[in-house]
Formats: sequence, C-alpha cells, structure tokens
Amino acid sequence: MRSMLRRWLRHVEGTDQEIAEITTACGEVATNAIQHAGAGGDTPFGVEGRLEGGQVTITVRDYGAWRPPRDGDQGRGLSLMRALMDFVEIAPSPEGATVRLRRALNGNRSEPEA
Amino acid sequence: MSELVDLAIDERDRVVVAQVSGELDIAGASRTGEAIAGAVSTAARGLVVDFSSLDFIDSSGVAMLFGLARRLTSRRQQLCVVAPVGGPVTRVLDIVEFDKAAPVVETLDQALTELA
Repeated sequence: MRSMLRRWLRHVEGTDQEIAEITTACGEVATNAIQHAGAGGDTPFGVEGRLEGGQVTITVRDYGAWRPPRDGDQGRGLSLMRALMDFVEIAPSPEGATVRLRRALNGNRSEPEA
Repeated sequence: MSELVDLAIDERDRVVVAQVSGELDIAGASRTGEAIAGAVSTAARGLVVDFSSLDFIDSSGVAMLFGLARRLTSRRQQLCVVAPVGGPVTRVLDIVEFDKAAPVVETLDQALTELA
C-alpha cells in the first residue's frame, strides 16, 4: 500500500516530506484496520486518493469494527495521524470504518481543523 | 504486509549497537524489538538503536522503542537513539516526544559518546 501511495503522491508532485508524512498517516489507518480485524495480514481495506485544489484527500475503508483508541500504541497512532495531516475524520459503522485524511500539498499547510 | 525491516547487531565496549534499516511497521516491529532486547545481556552498559538507514517508522515501531526504553530503565541500562535531522523517522519521534524517554542524537559517534 505504501509504495502505491508514494508513487501516486510523487505523480501529484508532493514534496519528499509531504510524501513521507502522508504515507505515515495512511499507514496508521491501515495498521488500525489490521489490528481491529484480528490476526493475519490479509485484511481487506480500500484506499482512494484524490487531488482537488492543491489538497490531497485520502479515504481508507476497512471492514473491521472501529474501536475508540485506548492508551498507548493506538492513541499514539491517532495523534500521529492528526499531527501529520490537516484534517482527520473517522466515521465508524457496524460494517467497518471510513477514515478521511486531508492535507494541502506544496508547503501550503493550513492549521489543523480538528 | 510483508516484512521490510533488517536488523544488524554489533557490540562496542559493552554497548550493543542495533542498526535497524528499511521500513519498521506492524509486520516487523515486535519481532525486531524482541531480537534487540534479547541481544542486550545484563552485562551490557547500554543500547544504541541506530535508525540512520531507516526509511519509515509507524506507531508500532514507536511502541517497540518505548518498550525497549522501559526495559532498559528497569535494568539500569542506558538507551540512545540515532536519527538524522530532517528525516521521516525524526519527524515521527518528535511528534510522540520520544526524547522524554531517551536521548535522540544525529550520529552513531554522538550516541557512543552519550553512553560513554
């Protein structure tokens, strides 16, 4: 997933730092999906990237039950996502969670909205 | 996810140097942490975790590092982490304020001096 995302972010002309940070944030969402769905590395999840008005929006859908982060590692994953992106939105549902991450490219980083 | 991380262990004057390279994520973090912990005998003075050649770290890698810090502190051994300034790993360590648990320096030489 990371190599695919990096290729796309290079294609939309993200800087090296932007690529690294967005990839890290998306990795946290994927890690969360894998942890919540239980053991095994073959948990299905979908990743969709969009570039609109200089802003990258990445939507990750998983099919496990989203649980609110506890202390420790999971809480840390969420703080990483929030620190690395301009906007993070988590929409849990019984079938799985949808996480939307947004960040402006080319150094035009806005203040975090949430 | 496949495992993308490599580990090389060396020892210098009773300081264990663990060089972690590649990408450290949920697929390899706990095994890497166990391998590093297993390499630090009670006779060792301390541990340097060298991330100079690490291209990626996530919260699983960070958890591994905090775990090592706790273990070493309880055994009265020192820990120092090497991460080059401006790299992707340093950014993550800054966000989680890892420097409150153990010093983070730029080069292996600085780390060895720190533990001297």
